[in-house]
Amino acid sequence: MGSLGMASLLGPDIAAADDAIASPFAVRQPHFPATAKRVIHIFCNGGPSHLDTFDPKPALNKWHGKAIPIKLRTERPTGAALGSPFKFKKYGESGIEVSELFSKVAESIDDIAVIRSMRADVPNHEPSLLLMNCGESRLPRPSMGSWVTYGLGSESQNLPGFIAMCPGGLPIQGTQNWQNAFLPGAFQGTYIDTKHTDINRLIENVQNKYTSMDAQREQLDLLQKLNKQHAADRQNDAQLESRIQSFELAYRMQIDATDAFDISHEPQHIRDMYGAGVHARQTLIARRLLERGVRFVQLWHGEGQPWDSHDNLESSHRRLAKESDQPIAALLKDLKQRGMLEDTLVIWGGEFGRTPAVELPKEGANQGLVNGRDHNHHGFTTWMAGGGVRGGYVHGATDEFGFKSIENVVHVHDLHATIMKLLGFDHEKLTFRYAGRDFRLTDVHGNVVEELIA
Amino acid sequence: MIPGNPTPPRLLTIFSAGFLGLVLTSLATGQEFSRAQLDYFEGKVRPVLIKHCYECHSHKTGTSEGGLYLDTRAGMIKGGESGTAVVPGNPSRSLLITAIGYANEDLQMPPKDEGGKLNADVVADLTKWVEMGAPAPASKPPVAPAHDMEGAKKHWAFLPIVKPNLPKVSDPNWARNPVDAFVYSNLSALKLPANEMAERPTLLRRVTYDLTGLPPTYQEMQAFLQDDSEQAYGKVVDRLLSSQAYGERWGRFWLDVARYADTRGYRTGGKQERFPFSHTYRDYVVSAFNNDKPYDQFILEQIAADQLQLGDDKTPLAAMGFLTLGRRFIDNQVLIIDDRIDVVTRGLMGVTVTCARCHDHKFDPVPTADYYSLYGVFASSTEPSELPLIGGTKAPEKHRSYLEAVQRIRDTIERIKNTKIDEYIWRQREKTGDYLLTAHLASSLPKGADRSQFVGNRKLDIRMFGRWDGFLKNDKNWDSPFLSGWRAVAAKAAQWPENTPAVIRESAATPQATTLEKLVPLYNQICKTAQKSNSDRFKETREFLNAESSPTTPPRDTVAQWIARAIGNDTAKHNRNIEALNWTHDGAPSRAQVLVDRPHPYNPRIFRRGNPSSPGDAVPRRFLEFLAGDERKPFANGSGRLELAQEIVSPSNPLTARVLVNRLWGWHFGRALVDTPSDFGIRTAKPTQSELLDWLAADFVENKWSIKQLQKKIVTSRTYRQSSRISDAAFQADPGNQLWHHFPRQRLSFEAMRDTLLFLGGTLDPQVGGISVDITRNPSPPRRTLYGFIDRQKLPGLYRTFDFPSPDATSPQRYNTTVPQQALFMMNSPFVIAQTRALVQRVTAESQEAPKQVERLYHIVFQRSPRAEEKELALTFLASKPAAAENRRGLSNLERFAQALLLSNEVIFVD
Repeated sequence: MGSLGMASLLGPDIAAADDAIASPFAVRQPHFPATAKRVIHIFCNGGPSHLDTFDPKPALNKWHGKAIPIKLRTERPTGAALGSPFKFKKYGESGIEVSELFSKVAESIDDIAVIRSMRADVPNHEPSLLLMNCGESRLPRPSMGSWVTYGLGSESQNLPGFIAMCPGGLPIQGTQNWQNAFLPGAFQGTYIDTKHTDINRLIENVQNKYTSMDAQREQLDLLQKLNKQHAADRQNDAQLESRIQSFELAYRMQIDATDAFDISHEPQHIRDMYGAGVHARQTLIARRLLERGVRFVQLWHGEGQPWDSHDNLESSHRRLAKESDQPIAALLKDLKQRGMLEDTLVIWGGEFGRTPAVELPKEGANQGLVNGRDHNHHGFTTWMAGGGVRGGYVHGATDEFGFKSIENVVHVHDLHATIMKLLGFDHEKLTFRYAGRDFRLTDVHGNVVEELIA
Repeated sequence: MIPGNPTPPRLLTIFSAGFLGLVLTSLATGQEFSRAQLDYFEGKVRPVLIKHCYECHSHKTGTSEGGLYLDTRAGMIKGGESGTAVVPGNPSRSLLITAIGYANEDLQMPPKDEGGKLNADVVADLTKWVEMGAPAPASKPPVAPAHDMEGAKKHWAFLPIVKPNLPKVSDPNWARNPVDAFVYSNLSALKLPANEMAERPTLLRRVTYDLTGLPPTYQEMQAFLQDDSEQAYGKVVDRLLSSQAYGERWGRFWLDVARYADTRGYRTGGKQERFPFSHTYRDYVVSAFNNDKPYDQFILEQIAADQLQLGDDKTPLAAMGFLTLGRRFIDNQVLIIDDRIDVVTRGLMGVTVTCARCHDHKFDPVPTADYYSLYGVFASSTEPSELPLIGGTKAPEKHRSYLEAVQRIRDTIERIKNTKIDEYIWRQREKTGDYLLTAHLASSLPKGADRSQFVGNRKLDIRMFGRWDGFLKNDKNWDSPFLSGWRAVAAKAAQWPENTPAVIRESAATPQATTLEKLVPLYNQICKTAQKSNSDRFKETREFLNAESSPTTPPRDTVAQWIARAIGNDTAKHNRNIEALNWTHDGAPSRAQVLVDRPHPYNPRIFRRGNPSSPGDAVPRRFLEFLAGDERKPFANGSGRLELAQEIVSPSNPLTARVLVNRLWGWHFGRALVDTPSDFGIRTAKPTQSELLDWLAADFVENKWSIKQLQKKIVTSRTYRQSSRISDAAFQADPGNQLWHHFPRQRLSFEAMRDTLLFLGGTLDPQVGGISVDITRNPSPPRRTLYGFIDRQKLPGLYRTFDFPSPDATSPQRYNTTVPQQALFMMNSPFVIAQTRALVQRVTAESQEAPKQVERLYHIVFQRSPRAEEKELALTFLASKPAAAENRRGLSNLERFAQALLLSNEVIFVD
């Protein structure tokens, strides 16, 4: 009671009179034909170093150990230049340089647009995570996945339309990263801890431990008889039928969802392609979900902020990349061989990058090893592939040391505007009236970066 | 807006409301423009000007760089210091087009640092517009609504409430209750046959759910059906209004407005997220509803209970949770205050004041100045370090045990802190050699070199280095025997000075024979050893390290600040535990989460564009101009919070009562009269039932703001008591039920759904109030859902699935979505299974015979007997052989049957 039906929420065009309470996941068309129909956002939470992955800076190695002439404010004090310990190499026809950390992903570089000129607002995790995910650093605003499912619904009626997977626990800022804020609760990302393999621990209530499927079917048949009798005397009320249908969907979801999360159905050569370990598993699950019509999948690297290498950058980045290089590379190739890459948008990145200058010791803040990098929001790299993105392309550049984006700067709002465009939306027009005004993912910002679009 | 809808040019609506419609010709030139031309301007040109030019070239912002105003056509033609900006029909002579073309290096707009060159298609749009003859509306610049106080006063919601006369109604059925008189006078226009009254079982179920959030019992149903008296229904209403469950139902509605949660939201460094006493606010709200606390008093207490004469009972102090229980935004004061302004203005008055944080409100008469007047009120208020006790302390021995538990943890924290400080100092002492060498090298750094980087790269602490450097610069300090060896080596002396300690002297035959680099590990080592040794060999070292003037003895308090983060990392858990005692220790007293005035009120300044580091004009703390009227005075007492509250409940304030009665109507009927209950601003159209709204509001204030009296009028109306059936004729005439030709059927809210399952299972715990419990646990505590712990940072999926509103901001109304996850919960969750089993136990305890069991289940679940065909269906199901391999996991046929009843639409919808 005291409720607002989906009719007033979605506008008269969507809600036909006899469909007063539309399913939030009913498929909706965007503003114009889209090149991307679904999204997978691989989030390296903590802030991967662009300087050691996708933005080579030979100058940095030349200046190694010496003070560089650029000094920008980051979270903590930084010292001399820290050359990248990783080797870069040219890949593909495009000849884009990628470090050894992502040598397998680099095999698909001709499908990838590398944005080397990203910019965020502040060098702190919390606001930057929210900015990257929700387009606003501090106030509660719907996440990108919520906006996308609000705008497009989902192709899958048997699975949540927006799924966020993170093994072992939550990233910093927790569920706010996939919050629906003032949008209806159905548009919140469904969190799945991929540390688990038991389906009951992945999706709440997806199986009944007390009844077999057959017995439950009989029970639901009885329920529907009761509901039919009930409805016979109550005409012209769509919400009754809507709830009746939801039980049928739920019944099928028990099978479909269980199946979607069970990678043992994949042939061995596909599983080998993704490799072993939790990242391989969750990436393969993600592909299965996308295949089944889930609209937006977010893959997090792990609890907390694994990519936050204030110390021991070399060893920790090597380990983190080793965990994810093969699965991501496999995902790109697998999507491609299934013809899905052309309309699946793959996004890779963190909330910011890392400094070219070494982080200096500070009690309680790092281990005083002076071999890591601080946060860097002035310049960092995000890449996108598939879904109509221009492959084999480098957009923008940071300065000689990789401290600050200086050429064709792409602010996070611009990235969002571009993603929305790929999905068929004018980012200024996908709005939601709340508290007296029309809100959107890009707030009052954002310019589409047309160069990124093929 | 979702695509597919032909999009009205949004900015057109925003900036032209009120004048574009009237003036289609440009009076300045006498030139006429077509609607299409003006639409082109509003759609393609004005937004660009607003976004890129107005900040420097408009009347509204009061700035005109180079004397150029681009917000009127006349201003563009007149131009600025450089000449005519726009020559209609001639882009090449228009400086505006030249500037945005960026070809002329001396004239490029927008400036590079303001975003630089516009997109090519935008430039083309503007060029085309000049070619068209630069069509634009009247010469009058758009008046920002925030400045249009006079115009705003005519908006229906801002007009004083005048109690309308009751419409004359000939039909006696509709003339008994004032609510009906208004509804009927509108409804009669449809010329529909009046809807029948709801059947009596339906009515009892409806009103019981509505007022208590729970179903009636079978006994209550029987009693009601057997009471033929005129007063039967009225008696039921009175019984329900005076039940404890009433406050638990209606208090929860208010908690939606109050964006109530039990946690502060995300915090850094592992700090405690849970509020210690949020539940005292929740309990206050429940009891305020149950006691029918007058709404004006309810508001005064929630905003300024600390400034009221409360007498001995300090419980109303808990009311201030209304302000304090919002999200804390990692302790960002600006955002915390913004949240409080929002809950007060949108929650209580339906005005979206926080839109005016960065700029004047675009639609409503709220200038930025007014936002900061309220900002000043809240910035002048603070949470006291010790929250006030309410309801006294617990039994002395329990209380003592609580205080001891607190002290034990405090001692632990102190111990950790001291250990961390000791460790730090020791660690630094073990780097004595490094500090000496670094100081030596730093003295020959070139001028202007970054010393902190130099020191940092050598893995030393710049703050300790500062002490060393200062110490060593004083020649006298070099007299210390401990340093004499170092100095000799630095000077390449031929002999060790006499006072050089043996441990150093033994390292080389002569100072010349060694180097400072070789001394570094030696100094480090002897300092390390000296700290643990009593040997005379280290006497000089110990004396040096421990001397008060030594760089190696930084004041402990200073060190504590240096390593605050490290200490915080290690003590966070214990600090969390101290707070947790508030809800885990039975000797912890109850407190209220209040605000109090700061000793010196904060005098607000406007933050330009909402940026606190860009303060502008000073404004007094005072009420909103459009509501306070011409005689607005600054608040005189302290923060002004009490005065603010008094302005909100002033009978001359037209919004407070209107907004509340509208909310109440919405909570009763599932849809409010004004369908944006938290926005009564200019863009909200006058509702169809505006007279009814005003009558209810006026009556509410006349009746001393009594919510229960108002509700009694509503629930005894014929409008409320009519059937929820929708005839085809009514559905076609008014599908949205704007005129209330039927009572809207409603789905149970999350709380009512869960409470119902507990109630039917017979397990509902009647305990009232207290510390919130985690209802997502398994088994779920059988408390009413209202008492569930609400973690705004990790709101459980269960809450979201069932449309529980986001507790991050005041919630105007709940959504009503239908998703399969709701069905999964009903079908499979351990909670529903547990309630099913409890329900079946109730039934089997009474009878082992299937027909009687079915009868009893229907009594409990539906408060009626099964019809013959229902009974037959049931018995067939119960007698069926379960499907293959059945029931090994537990559910009997009777349980599966009972669960099906619980899942049915008849349970979940209220007719």
